[in-house]
Amino acid sequence: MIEIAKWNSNRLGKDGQEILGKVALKGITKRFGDKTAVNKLDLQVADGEFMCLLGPSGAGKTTTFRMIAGVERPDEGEIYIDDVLVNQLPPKDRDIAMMFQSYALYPHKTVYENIAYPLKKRGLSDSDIKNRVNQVAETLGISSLLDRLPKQLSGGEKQRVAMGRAIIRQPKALLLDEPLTNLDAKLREQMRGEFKRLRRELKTTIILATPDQLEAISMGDRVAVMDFGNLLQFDSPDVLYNHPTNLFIAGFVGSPAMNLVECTLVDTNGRVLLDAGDFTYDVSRFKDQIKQQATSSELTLGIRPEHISMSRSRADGECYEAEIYVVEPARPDIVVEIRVGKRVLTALAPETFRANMGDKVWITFDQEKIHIFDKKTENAIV
Amino acid sequence: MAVVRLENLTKRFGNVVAVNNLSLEIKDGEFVSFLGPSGCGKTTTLRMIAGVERPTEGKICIDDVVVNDLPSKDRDIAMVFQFYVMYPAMKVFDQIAFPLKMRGASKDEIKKSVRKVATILGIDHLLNLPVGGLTMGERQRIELARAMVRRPKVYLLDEPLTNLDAKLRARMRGELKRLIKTLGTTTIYVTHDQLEAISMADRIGVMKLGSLQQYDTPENMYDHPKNLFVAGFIGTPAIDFVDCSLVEKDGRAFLDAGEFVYEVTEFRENIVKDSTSPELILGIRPEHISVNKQCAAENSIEAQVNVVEPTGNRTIVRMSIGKHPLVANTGVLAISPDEKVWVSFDRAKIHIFDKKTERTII
Amino acid sequence: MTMTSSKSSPTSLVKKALIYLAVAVILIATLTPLVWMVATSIKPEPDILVTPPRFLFTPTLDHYWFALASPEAPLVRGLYNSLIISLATIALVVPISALAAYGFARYNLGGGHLQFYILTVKMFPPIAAIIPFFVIFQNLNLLDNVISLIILNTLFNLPFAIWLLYGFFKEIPTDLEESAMIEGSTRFEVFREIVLPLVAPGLAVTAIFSILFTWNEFLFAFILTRSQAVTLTVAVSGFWTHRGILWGPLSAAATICVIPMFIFALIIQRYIVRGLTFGAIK
Repeated sequence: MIEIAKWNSNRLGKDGQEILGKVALKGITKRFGDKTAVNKLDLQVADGEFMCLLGPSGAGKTTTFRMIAGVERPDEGEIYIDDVLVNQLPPKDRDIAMMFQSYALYPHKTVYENIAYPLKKRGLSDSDIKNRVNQVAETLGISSLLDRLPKQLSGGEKQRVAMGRAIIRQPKALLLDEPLTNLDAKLREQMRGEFKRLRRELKTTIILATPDQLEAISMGDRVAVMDFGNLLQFDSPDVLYNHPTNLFIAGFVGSPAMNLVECTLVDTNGRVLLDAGDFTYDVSRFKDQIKQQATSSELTLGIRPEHISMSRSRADGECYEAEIYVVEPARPDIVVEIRVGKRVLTALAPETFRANMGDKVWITFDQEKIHIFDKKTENAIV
Repeated sequence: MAVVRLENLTKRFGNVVAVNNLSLEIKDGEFVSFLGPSGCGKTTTLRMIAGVERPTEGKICIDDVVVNDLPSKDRDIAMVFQFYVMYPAMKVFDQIAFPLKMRGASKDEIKKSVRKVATILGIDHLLNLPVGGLTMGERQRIELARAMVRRPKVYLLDEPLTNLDAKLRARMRGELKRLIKTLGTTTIYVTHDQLEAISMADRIGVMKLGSLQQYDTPENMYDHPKNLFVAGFIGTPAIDFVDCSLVEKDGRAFLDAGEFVYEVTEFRENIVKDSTSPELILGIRPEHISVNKQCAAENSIEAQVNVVEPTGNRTIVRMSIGKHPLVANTGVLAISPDEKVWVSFDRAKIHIFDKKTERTII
Repeated sequence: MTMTSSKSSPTSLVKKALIYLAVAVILIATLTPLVWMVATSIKPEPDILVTPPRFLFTPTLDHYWFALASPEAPLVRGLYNSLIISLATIALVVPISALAAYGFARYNLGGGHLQFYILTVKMFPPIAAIIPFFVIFQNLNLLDNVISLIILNTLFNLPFAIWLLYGFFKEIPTDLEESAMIEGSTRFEVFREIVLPLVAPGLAVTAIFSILFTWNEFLFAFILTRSQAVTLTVAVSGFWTHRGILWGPLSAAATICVIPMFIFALIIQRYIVRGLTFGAIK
């Protein structure tokens, strides 16, 4: 358990002003040759917010970080830190701290020297530096490692040293580039909780980049989802999970992934149905919304695994017969893949569920929780 | 299809005992996983079965034949690794056909087998393409195809999914399980990821520092762990452990954890019988803790919320009861840090361990 | 993956024997000239050119005294000049190549073409350039002057040094430098405090190779010096007189020439191995 000492609670700068940490990006674009890494990005991070930048590799997260830190120049657009335009400022004058995915620990310097480096560069006295480094080391539980060299440390220890170097300065904003990616599963799960706790104590604006949707939605106040350099949605985790605005986000956020079924809109006898080939689903109640927003009759139906219920007997309402394809007795929720016709859907079952491959079950969808997307534009309709 | 039996298998590297007196049997067609943290000996065991490492002591039998002295190529096994080395210019077809070519199979046979396996794995549309431009997921399936095309007696898989991103890994777990079950070949799968093991395997062998801790079905591993290590290793978020002592008062038995007491009268006899001292550890899995804003049941304990992590369809709540940390995994819950809540444990699901021996009592 | 086999088959014994044989052949081929040279330097005059060669003889140091005192071959002056030239060359080559290689590695100057041009200097047969260089230095009045040799040696050592250090600099992850810059360092501070310490083995190897090359350099020294700037190698060649080759003193002088580098190499050899196989910094 990590207890943060109170040294960081005094967030006044040298002139007595409260340290803010607003970061704003306006129309930021970066190209590498004919490849656009970041495309017209508009982002406002509030003072003290813990914002997560979520996206698969290649989405442009690291490039965006590098532009905020100043080691990369944007081709277009402006970057503001605390409402000050910083495009022309070199990295050392921006008062940003960045923790690299590779940790970037100086191999020839001890842990103490690594953590002390930012303060040395700022000209603090040796005794001040010593105090601060000791405090940070104690906070992060690495006091015993101060004399070691990076090559003598384990992955988790290196990560904490990198953290120490990042937080020792009380910067305006803290950029964390995939800090948990290189840790093993158990440590990662532990560190998620530690990060959230650390955040409350630090009171800095934190921007964390990650390709792991679970990390993003469990830690962030708000999450910005990026793909191929574009910002897709910037919302609270709750909204992203329950009201994704497009197909990519719907399929990316949430594990196991949302079931996405391609179907065609069919109008028969006054009822409006989604025809998925292997089954049909009545969506009459959404008739007006669909007519308004759909660009064609090619739609995609989305339903999360936890919103599919299975039973041995046929239920009322829209019920489909399915065959058990695979049972993965993960806990706490058992993952069951079921086959309906030629399609395979994923559902979640409680831990008491027992079934074998090939068993027949009846499935129903939670009516309140379905999503409908336009297949071409990939935008959400319902 | 084969029965694999390990008898008193031991491997020493100088003074280090990598595998310590391992004995187990893998039934014909069974999918078994060797699970444990790095350095526990699981990969060394796999390598001994494969024949690239010689046991210091003990026997390895495949179908009742002792294979200790048989070179790898004569054991009729196929191994799939983490890091697949492929010549980027080689066509997928040739990549998969390689083992058959090495064995001198006829061109017709090769063609038929490769096509068949490629179809099963859904990569038949890639057969004429060079390996160079393909994605991780496709490469991993090619690697699997190469192992499967020979239809050996045993498949040995060494953490094949480690290099894939989270999403692909989740998908491949299901596909791989389905595939192996359909083929029906005896399979041994080494991993450090407990989720992989309990999702896919028929039985799991959990190892720690060379010794086998428990060898059982996923359900039993999860619901009836034999010792502290197994209970703590399997399941995420990890099981909650609380140090406590057995206290008896007025004919009732309690576990005294300092900050709270938990009644265990109905387990008293078993506890007294199997424990070496009154120093015990109470274990409860996060999903078996219910969190309420008001004091609901009699056994409820007050706790303070520290961190709330929404995970989509569930919420991980990190709390503390005084100095004891506690993690709960509930459904979607609207609570905030610093709130006071009331927790209760599912009585049917608690575990009690002997603190000294670390063995399970309840 | 190794097959650990407790059986030693006949084939592996034959393999081992063949390997030892190959090593022995290489050793003999490499060391024989050296051994012969040292032996000759202490053989009495009559025994030197006898056929079949004489291996038993009473050693004498006459050749050494003769060599050191001989006016045709100013060994002492040669030693002095060689030292100056070698040290000056390293003093120039190491910093220049470090900065150049860093520039290439980080800023990709000249888009690879400039690097290629520099490397082609090494492919160039020096003898083809000797006349132009002679004329240039004559016009600059630098004949028989150590400066001309320093310039030339620096010039011919730079390509290899730059190429070598380029590899080392490329190995340093840019993350380290960017992190330092974010923390408040200027580019030069980063170079000095972060990068240089990490390529120190590379710098050592560069210095070693430069000094070896320069010490043994003969062609340019021979053409461009007369008496003042004579290097040790040229001095040794002084025993190739119009009267005939004075094998004894020649061998003695050559031995004197070899010994400093021999000792140097013995001391430095483990740094060379470490430097060349330094590899990943992770």
